[in-house]
Amino acid sequence: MVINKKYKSKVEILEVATNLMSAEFKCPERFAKHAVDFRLKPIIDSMISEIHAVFETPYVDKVYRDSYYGYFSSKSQDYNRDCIRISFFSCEINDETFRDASIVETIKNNYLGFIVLRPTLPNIIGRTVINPKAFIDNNVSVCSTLIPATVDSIKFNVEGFPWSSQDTETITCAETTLWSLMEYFGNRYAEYRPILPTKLIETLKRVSTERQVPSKGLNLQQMSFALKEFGFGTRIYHKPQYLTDFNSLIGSYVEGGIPIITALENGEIKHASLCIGQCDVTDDKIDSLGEKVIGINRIDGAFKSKGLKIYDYQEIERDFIFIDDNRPPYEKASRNAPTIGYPDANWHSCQISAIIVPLHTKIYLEAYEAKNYALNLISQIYTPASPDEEILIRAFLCSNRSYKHGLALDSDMDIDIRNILLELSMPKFVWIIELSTKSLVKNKKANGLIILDATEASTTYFDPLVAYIHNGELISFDPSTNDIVRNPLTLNEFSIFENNLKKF
Amino acid sequence: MAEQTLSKYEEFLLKLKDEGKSKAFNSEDDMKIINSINEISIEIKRTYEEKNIRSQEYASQVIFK
Repeated sequence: MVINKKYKSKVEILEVATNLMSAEFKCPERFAKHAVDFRLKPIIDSMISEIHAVFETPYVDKVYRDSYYGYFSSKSQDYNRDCIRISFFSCEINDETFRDASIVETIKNNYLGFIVLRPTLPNIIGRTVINPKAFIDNNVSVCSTLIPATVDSIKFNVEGFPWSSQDTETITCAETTLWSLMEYFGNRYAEYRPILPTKLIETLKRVSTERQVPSKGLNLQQMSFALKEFGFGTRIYHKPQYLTDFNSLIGSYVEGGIPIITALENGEIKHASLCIGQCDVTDDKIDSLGEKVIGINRIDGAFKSKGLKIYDYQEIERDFIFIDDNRPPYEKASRNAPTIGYPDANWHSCQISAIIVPLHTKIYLEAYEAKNYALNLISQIYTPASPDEEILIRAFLCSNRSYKHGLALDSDMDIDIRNILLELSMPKFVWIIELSTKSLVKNKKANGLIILDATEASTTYFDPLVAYIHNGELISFDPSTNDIVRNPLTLNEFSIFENNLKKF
Repeated sequence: MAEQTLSKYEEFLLKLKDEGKSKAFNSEDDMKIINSINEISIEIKRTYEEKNIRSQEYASQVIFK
């Protein structure tokens, strides 16, 4: 292993990458330069100026090595089986950095991640994990996990979301999206495993009628099948079926910390990416939020007759964060224009036509039913004190563990009420529907709460209800009588829950 | 026999019951509410199932690459 350190200008980094690729991958320098300019430069250009790189070569990357033995080694053209890896730091690096224990301790916070360059020109960007802090335009809230890496024999961890470009032969956007999702879940939760390309190909054999490599892409059914095989209970949502609810569904799942597969198309182009987070909501966007069109006549009718205006936080316009193998990681774009950042204008009209949501197998109550059940409850139970009252709902999925952790530390909520809620029996996963108003939510506050059992498939009567706390009353299950009861409980303003996504 | 320990939630329910402030959800008005909730829930579920079937039909049609 040859290690080159000390590269601290973006121009130097790109030059070294070009020279190393030409030497190690045995390709003409002009091809290496084209690949670097086409693929690596956009990423480096979007990074902060204080960036230092460490190059390691030859580097054994497990994902490329798997593709090499599964496909590239069988071709007549001679492919290198090793890669080059670039590791990034936000502090100066020299020959002594990785040999002094005290210096190593201090630079651990400066480690920003890595990019693997693989010999599949021009699609050279392989397995990549970069901390969002490394980018000039950060200020994002995203799903993230810690991924270990060793740089010059020293162990580090990078916090971020895995990303790769497709090599267009063993993996297209569809397979890359699946790989990225499993790399995230496999590193974050013990019940899942990261996958390699040959494992994905093997898994999809049963639902493929032609040869699988070179890959021609996958349809959503195949992608959903693969996720099911890897341990998820997936749900597919096609936009024309959900119309005004569609963006809200995306918002609710992402707010719950679930990265979702987004199918992007505009007639000619059909591309898959991941939506993994969002940007902050601004006051002007809250102000411009229109009333929710519920689409269930009896609920709409009940709200109209009571003069109650309903707003949905998840419909508020804001940028979401995409992991797109054609673009640098953490691409910001709106749900209505997810490919606006592409330099090729042909891509700008792409829309999200469908999403695949990788739910835990025990989550039986999905977002459409959960939200409408909550709206159903409000429409039947709540009578506003005055006409033109408003309720803004903010719905998201959460684990019991995460929610109670956040609740326990929410000093805005009265301690006695907190303790009552914390000792409510809750299932492993819950739907949280915070009830608020436009002015309250601008200060990140709510004044009501509905908690639904996400592991309950039945929405008969009060089956999924854990607690309904609004307007001075608590409706919940009394274990001593096995019945639903109403009790007086005043919930003052409390902080909305934002702990499912990590803010950078 | 050892006395069963109650959670703070159960203590809260017991206290309000003793004070006469707790109400079962079983008045005539409450039953109307419950029936409406149930009827609407059935409609929501049926609507969702139709949307889900159509979504799955689409899922087999388009290749993404």
